[in-house]
Amino acid sequence: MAPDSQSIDGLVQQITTSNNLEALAHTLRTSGTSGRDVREFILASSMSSGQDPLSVLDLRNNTLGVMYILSARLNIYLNAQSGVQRPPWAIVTQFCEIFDPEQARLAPERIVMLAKSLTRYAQEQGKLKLAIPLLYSLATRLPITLSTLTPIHHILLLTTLQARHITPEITRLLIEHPIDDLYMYSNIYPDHNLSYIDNLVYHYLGGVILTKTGNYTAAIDYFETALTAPSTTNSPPAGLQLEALKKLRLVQCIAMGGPQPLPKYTSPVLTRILKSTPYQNLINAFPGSLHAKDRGEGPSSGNNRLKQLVSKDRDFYASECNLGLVELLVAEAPKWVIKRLTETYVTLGLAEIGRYVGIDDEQQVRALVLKMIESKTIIATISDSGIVTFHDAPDTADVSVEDIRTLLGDVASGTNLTEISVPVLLEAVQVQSTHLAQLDMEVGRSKEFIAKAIKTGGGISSMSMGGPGSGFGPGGAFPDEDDYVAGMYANDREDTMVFG
Amino acid sequence: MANGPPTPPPTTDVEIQDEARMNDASALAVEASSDPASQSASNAAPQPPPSPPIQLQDPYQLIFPRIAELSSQKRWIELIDIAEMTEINASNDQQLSRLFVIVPLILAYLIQNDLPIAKLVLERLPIDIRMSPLISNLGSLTKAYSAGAYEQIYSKANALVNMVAQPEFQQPELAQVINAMVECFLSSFRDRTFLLLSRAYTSMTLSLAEMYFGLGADELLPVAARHGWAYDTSTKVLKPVPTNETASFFPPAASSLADFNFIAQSVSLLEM
Repeated sequence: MAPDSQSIDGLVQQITTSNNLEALAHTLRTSGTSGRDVREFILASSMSSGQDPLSVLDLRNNTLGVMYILSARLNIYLNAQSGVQRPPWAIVTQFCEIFDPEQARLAPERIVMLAKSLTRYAQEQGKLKLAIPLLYSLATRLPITLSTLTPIHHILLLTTLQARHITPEITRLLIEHPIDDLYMYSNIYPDHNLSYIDNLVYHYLGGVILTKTGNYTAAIDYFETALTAPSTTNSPPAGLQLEALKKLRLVQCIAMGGPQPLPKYTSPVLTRILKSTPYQNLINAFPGSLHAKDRGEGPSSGNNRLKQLVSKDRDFYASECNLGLVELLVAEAPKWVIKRLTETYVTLGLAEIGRYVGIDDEQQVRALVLKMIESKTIIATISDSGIVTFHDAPDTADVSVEDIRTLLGDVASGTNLTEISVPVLLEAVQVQSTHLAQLDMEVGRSKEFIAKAIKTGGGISSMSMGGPGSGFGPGGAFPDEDDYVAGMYANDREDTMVFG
Repeated sequence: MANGPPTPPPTTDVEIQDEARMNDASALAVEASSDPASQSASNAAPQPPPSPPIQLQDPYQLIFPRIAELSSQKRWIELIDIAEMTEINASNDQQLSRLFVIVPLILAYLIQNDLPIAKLVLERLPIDIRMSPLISNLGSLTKAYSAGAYEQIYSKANALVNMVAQPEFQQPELAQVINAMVECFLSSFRDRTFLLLSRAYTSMTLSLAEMYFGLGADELLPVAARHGWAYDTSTKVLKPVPTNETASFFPPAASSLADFNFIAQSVSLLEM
């Protein structure tokens, strides 16, 4: 039974009759005597009877075969257009919705190829937004968990932003499933593999989308991830990381009142470059920042200074596409002035607050204070004579329903959250801690980590290894309680190591 | 691959708008057979070039009965899902019948208090649709809501309702849906305002309260009294009572042995 893999008929026959998916995957992947390009052409052709192979194959059961054919056809149609019949869009849509993820994982690079081609096709047709649900389906169903990054993720976010069609679905994906794993595979097409830039782009765009939808805390996380992505030693950080830093600083001012300290592993090059841009002055002038020189200086001068700084560099911000954020920052500045007032005063009249903030209209000040109370930025009460009394945070944790919802995840979608009892909460926290311990273990097992640990010596012995209780020295002396012999710490034995 | 890209891809607002404008320009030369497999019964027939206002294959009009149904059942999340899906899959998004889907969508976002996304929806509309009186009304309502300008919220909402009540407004079903949704919005908005004011004010004048609720004294006082707010008729001052919106956590009724085991286990895990 010599399978004929040089003609489309033969391939279709193999696809429909094969029982062994791995063998089929191998057959489809290896182009054999003909070259790769010829194989793509074969995959893209119609059958000898003139029939469209896609009408013969089942989209779900023959996912593997359909994947190869669809991706080859779209690719060649876009690049060469040499008489290859474009697959009908309805078929592409249906496939993306119902494909079998297990089969797809045997040749993930074809799914990535398909994602890229269909996006390009949609763009050339001027209907980019059509690609969004398809990309979403591909990106979320291909990997095993929703928190795994594939090469499709950043294409999804880019398409969403370019089509200006941000949906609650995308926001939910970003907030509830932050990335903690990468989908890596070896394949013969290196440009369809997950790259360093994909990760940067995904997190940067994720931050942009979350800022647009007002989820500032999550946006800050995403920008930080993009910003602190490690690059190989001695290479400079990417330009995109500098952009992420700028946006991070702006969002931190808007949402938290001032710049927060960056993680220790941030590249110092980035902070140095930022210092020389107008952003640094802007941030320093913001009321919540530590450097703000007008602490307790006259009223509203700080706000005027901010406005001056902005108007001076307006074109610069516009050219960097950050003008919107900068203007939002100026608009939010009064809030943080008020927040600082809570540190000094217990009660204050609305008119006086207005003087500090630089707003004359008492109604506007009242509205501003009310907004801050609503968003729980301050805890205060207003009396009918217009006196605002600031209160301290109550002793009991004022945990709101929404804070708990993300922690509990799926559990709480139907149940009434007010009846959640302590054991349920404990259980949710336990699940999170086991997950964290598992991640910790995985990192501890990884080859690079152990290699570095041995190199840097006993100093880090007690660090983040789950408390093994025994350190290891630099390949020389070992604590008496262990039976380990020097040779056992060679790299190729790391998977038999036992800690603690 | 350690060097960064020369320029970042066009990702931020202005650049994206430019890209979208380029895409919009080529949207008019669209091939009709790129129809989606959505639940609207659009077939693969090519669209007639200058489309007459009402078309049988119009996905917006086709989905509207379902939207109206969901609105009457107050199932906002499903309404949003279906509306967003129609928005993505519709091939011609320049036509005015898009209002059938957009207006309920925005109103649903407002009812759910999801303000940023409501604004994003408004921003992505093409110019002609944004200029239509219905959308400009809706836009000013959203703006007022975002600014927390209570008086304006009520006046804009009323303006919207009045607008669809005019005889010139020729879509009675849409008018019905708009009326119902605006009412829902006002009622959920008043609830939220109520909770906020109970927390934020120790005492307030009656006129201020009337402004916040958009109701006259005679409608307002009974509701306030029902929630325990004290009213001093001589000075016309209301004293709100802070309500517990959601009590933090109910203490467990009776602690069982199973609970104890569970907690002990959790603590022992902490030791690791």
